[in-house]
Amino acid sequence: MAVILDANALINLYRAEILSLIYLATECIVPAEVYAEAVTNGQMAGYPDSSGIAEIIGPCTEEFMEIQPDLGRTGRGETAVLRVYLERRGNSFPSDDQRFLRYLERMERSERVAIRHLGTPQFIVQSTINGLITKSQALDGIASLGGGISEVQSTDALQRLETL
Amino acid sequence: MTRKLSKKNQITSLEIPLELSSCAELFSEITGIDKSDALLDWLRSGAEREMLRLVSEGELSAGKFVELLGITYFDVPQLTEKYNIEIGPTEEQVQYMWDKHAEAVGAILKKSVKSHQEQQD
Repeated sequence: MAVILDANALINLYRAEILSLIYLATECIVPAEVYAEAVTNGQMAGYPDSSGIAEIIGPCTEEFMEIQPDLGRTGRGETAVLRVYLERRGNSFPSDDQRFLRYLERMERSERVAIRHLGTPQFIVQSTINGLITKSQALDGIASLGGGISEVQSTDALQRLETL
Repeated sequence: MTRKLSKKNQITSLEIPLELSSCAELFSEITGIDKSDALLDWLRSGAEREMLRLVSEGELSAGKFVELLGITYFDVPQLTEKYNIEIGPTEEQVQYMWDKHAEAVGAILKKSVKSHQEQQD
């Protein structure tokens, strides 16, 4: 059982200072394509957060996909997350991309499969409910994301956290 | 300022309306920025804004957006701020994820913590 992370989730969880806590508490998988997006490309472009992420997740241990399936206007990282999910059942992943979520919903309906996913802020709420992080860590984390997540998501997550 | 990963360019011929060309000329005269550089900059800004709008409408993923523009995920928040375009799931999508997957994701997290602890021990 593991949590598969895409670049957006990695960056948001890192900025929320929750990534290291998730890594300590659970098994995480970062596909090679995601590692390239969040770490390699980030470092090439000179973003210090990418090195911070690398320190937490360590070197890339996954392999690149030989053939990149076309999911219809989605990126390599998102496609790789879905591939890893379908290959290794029993996992889940956070995702915040409207296009990708639309694709997942369609796939769930047409192929009658359950693809266990939540938005990153909702994933943070579930991590709080299940004792991976504290409520104050979750509240601080979501507040620190600011414009990194949509208002719909942050309002929803904050309302749910308040009830805990 | 976003940080481009690729320096590759393609030579293409483009017919530019006279008014736009005059604007670029005057802009160049005032700012000292080369006319073709200014035009390229405007083209890039337009591409960033319009493609980001497609991401916000769910027509294109953020991952595809960064690939197409040759930028990184780290550039996305500053672009959403620059163009005042919010991206992310719709309210219905957030509700769908809660209704359909929240419980199962919670159970997976719980099991994942347990198996991780066993591995550590």
